[in-house]
Amino acid sequence: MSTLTFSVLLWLGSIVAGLLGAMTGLGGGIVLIPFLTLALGVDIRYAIGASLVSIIAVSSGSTAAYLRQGFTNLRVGMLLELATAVGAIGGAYLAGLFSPGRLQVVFGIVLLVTIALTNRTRRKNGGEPKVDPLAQRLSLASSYPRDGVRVAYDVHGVGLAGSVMLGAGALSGLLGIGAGAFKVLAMDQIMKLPFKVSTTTSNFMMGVTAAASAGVYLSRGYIHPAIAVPVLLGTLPGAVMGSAVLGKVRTGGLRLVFSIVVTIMAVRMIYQGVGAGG
Amino acid sequence: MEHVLSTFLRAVLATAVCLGLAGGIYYLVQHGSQPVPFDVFQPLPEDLCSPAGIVSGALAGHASELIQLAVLLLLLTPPARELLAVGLLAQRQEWGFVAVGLASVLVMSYGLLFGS
Repeated sequence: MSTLTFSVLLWLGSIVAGLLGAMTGLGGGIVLIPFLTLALGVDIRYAIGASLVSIIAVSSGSTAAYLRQGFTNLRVGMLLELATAVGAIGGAYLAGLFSPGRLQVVFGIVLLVTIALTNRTRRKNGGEPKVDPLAQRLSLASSYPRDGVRVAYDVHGVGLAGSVMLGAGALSGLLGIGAGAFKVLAMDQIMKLPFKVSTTTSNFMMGVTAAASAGVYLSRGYIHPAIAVPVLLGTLPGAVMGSAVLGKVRTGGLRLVFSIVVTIMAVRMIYQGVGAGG
Repeated sequence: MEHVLSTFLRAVLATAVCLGLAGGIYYLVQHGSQPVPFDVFQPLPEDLCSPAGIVSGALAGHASELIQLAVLLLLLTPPARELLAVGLLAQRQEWGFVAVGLASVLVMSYGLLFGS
């Protein structure tokens, strides 16, 4: 296959990855890495490097929009992204110790867990949780817009959420994904943040998480320019289109189909990874 | 503060995309007909991995380095955004979060400077 053909196919695939990622909330890396490795035969280390580049681009673009809308909790984001960044550095170094086959197996397993987490029932409103003194001391409580007014909320479980973020960051650095499902889980279930605040704050953090490990990948020569640029120029407009149609289409059926397809890809990655000696 | 951060992010992203597009087109003009070697992993040469090598190669007009410069700009966006947030928080004298923000910048810089 020529470089031109490869670039065009990758660019088109990246648009789809960005589009689906934005519409399903699962992120582009979940689609992009299996597409690169299974469909285009790219070594997974190049794929992870390229995926991190796209995460930074999409995160920066969508963060710009969410900041203006007033959903993102900047203080919570800044606090937790330190934990994810440290975890991401650790994950990136770990990736150097894993064989490509083993990386594929781990990726496939994490993909299955991510699908399960994304399709779980969202937290129901229960009794009022205890006040977190750390959250109070750091003034993490805030408000978000709902139906034209700002609704106040408290923040809980800061310490435990920080620990989860270390793990989410490590997964991001190891596999080149945003690990958004894990971050949203922590903020939704542990910190009891409103769901829209959780998703936008997760998006805010993703760029920092990816940048921490992407520096390691760039220094080690894992980010190839011929792969990075079609990915960058594809996922970004794809994500913008996905965000634009998100409010206009019913995504329930799409998410189900997407979950099934991603599950099949995960099984294939595990199978291929085991076959490669992972 | 949110408005300032948002505007900054969009400006840097637009610059990185334009640089990447220019470098990508130039790269395809030079290498478009060559077969792709990505099934076998081979680490890139130093010029494409270090900030100094990338900048000097981009200034010399090399297509690969131009693309890597766009990638580098993108990688520097989160720490730059963090520094901007730190500056704005310092104006408000929120020293706890200034420290947290600076620590995040240090962690992000570590990977780029010592990752190899």
